[in-house]
Amino acid sequence: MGVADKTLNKMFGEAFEAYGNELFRHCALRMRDRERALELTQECFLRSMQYAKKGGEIRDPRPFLYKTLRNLIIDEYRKRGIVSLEKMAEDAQAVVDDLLPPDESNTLERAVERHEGATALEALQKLPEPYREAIVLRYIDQLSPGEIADIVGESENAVSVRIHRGLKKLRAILEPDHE
Amino acid sequence: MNNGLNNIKREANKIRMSDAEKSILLSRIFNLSSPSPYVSFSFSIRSVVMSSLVLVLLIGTGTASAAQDSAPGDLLYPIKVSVNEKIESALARGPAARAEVYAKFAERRLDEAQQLASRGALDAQKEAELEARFAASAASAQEFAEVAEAQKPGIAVGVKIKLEASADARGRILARIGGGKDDETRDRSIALAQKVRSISGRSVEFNGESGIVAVSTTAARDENHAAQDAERDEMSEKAAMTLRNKATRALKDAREKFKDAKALDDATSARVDEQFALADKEISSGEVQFDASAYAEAALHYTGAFKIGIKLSALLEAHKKFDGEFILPILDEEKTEMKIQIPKL
Repeated sequence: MGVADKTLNKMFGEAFEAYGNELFRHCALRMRDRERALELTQECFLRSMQYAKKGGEIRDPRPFLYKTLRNLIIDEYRKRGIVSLEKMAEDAQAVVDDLLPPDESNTLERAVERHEGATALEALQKLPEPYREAIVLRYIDQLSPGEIADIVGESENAVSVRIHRGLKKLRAILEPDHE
Repeated sequence: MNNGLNNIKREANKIRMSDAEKSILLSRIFNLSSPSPYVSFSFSIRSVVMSSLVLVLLIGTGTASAAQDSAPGDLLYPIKVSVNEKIESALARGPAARAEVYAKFAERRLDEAQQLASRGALDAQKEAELEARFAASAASAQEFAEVAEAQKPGIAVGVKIKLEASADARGRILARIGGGKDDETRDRSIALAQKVRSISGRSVEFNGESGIVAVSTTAARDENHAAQDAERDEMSEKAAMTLRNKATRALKDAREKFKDAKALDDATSARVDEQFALADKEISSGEVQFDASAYAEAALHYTGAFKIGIKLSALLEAHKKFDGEFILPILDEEKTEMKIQIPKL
């Protein structure tokens, strides 16, 4: 049974306030393209609303939105064709600044400050998929392994293993001399 | 390793949508829940303008125009701030024009606050939204003005003066409108009025009914005025001319509003005439100084005239839009302020 339009708007308005930014951030970290991330975030909400309007049940908006967004990201990867892991790592260079919100009063000081912090984020950008997805969902989106398992459609154990391997790879990038 | 994760998290948290992007997304999600293939999804400024124009065509110029009278909480408000105003700012050519546009947006936020207060609809959330939007627009106006200063001397001081005078006048009107309403509206109106007037570094306490009870200057005000004094000392001929032009335009605008004003009683008309006479005297004194190449002194007089023009425009607009007396009480308030001003904190 469908939800009345007014209730629907209220529900999605609240969901946008609560989760809009984190969904955008997740998408930006996966897409490495700010504009495309905005488009996919918009599309994620539009599709979810259409699903609800047609009578689909959404018990908990947050995981539903993440699943919808994930599917959009997978479609996007497929559209871009097969990309080698090495190429993905190269593309990670110097794109972090493009993900930050437009700042018309940029100063040299702020640019330098951002660059130092950006080094850590670049390490994440160099992580190949599906490890990057796992680390972003766990440590940036703050989802539990169980919630991640629900979103990606795999077992909690498989997710935990992926997170562990992702952390190892991340450590190797951040601390290349670490034994 | 934990440091690395913390760094990643900290840096990642900076990745967020700007307010403008959020507004655009929100308006598209709720206006386009049946997505149109004709609307571009691009977010670059040029594309925002183009897609905004397409959106205006889709929703109708009537709707876009009706949105101009909306305030936070109204259905069409997202159209006003994220479509109409986006187009306005994108079409402004050059930093000087953009400074003026953002100063206008800042004034609009205060007009919206007045509108909400008059309906008894100014709650904490809307107050916070308006305060944030006002501050953002005022900051953008000043930043663009500073960029424009090299090509258009005097623009930066002009924008600062406009924002200060406008926030002062509109803040007073807001406090007065809200003062006669329910407790929450009154408290929110007074709080917002105090916050926006604090850009002049002036600390003013209002009571709910008649306006001010105490005025004090703060170090911030003295600093602000010292900065303006310093700017005036370095005032060039061109900069003084810019201020004169702004002053004469502001007074012209106020005179047109005076002509269109619904019946004003004799006492109010006389006081407004007095203010115009004072402004004209300032302009004349300014011209004398200007002719003597004393540009800093000329600028001081032009500034006085400019402030009077802005104040009278705001008062006459409020007189037209809202029930209640504003002009005389607020002009009286200013006189009282001068008498009860206490030493700086």
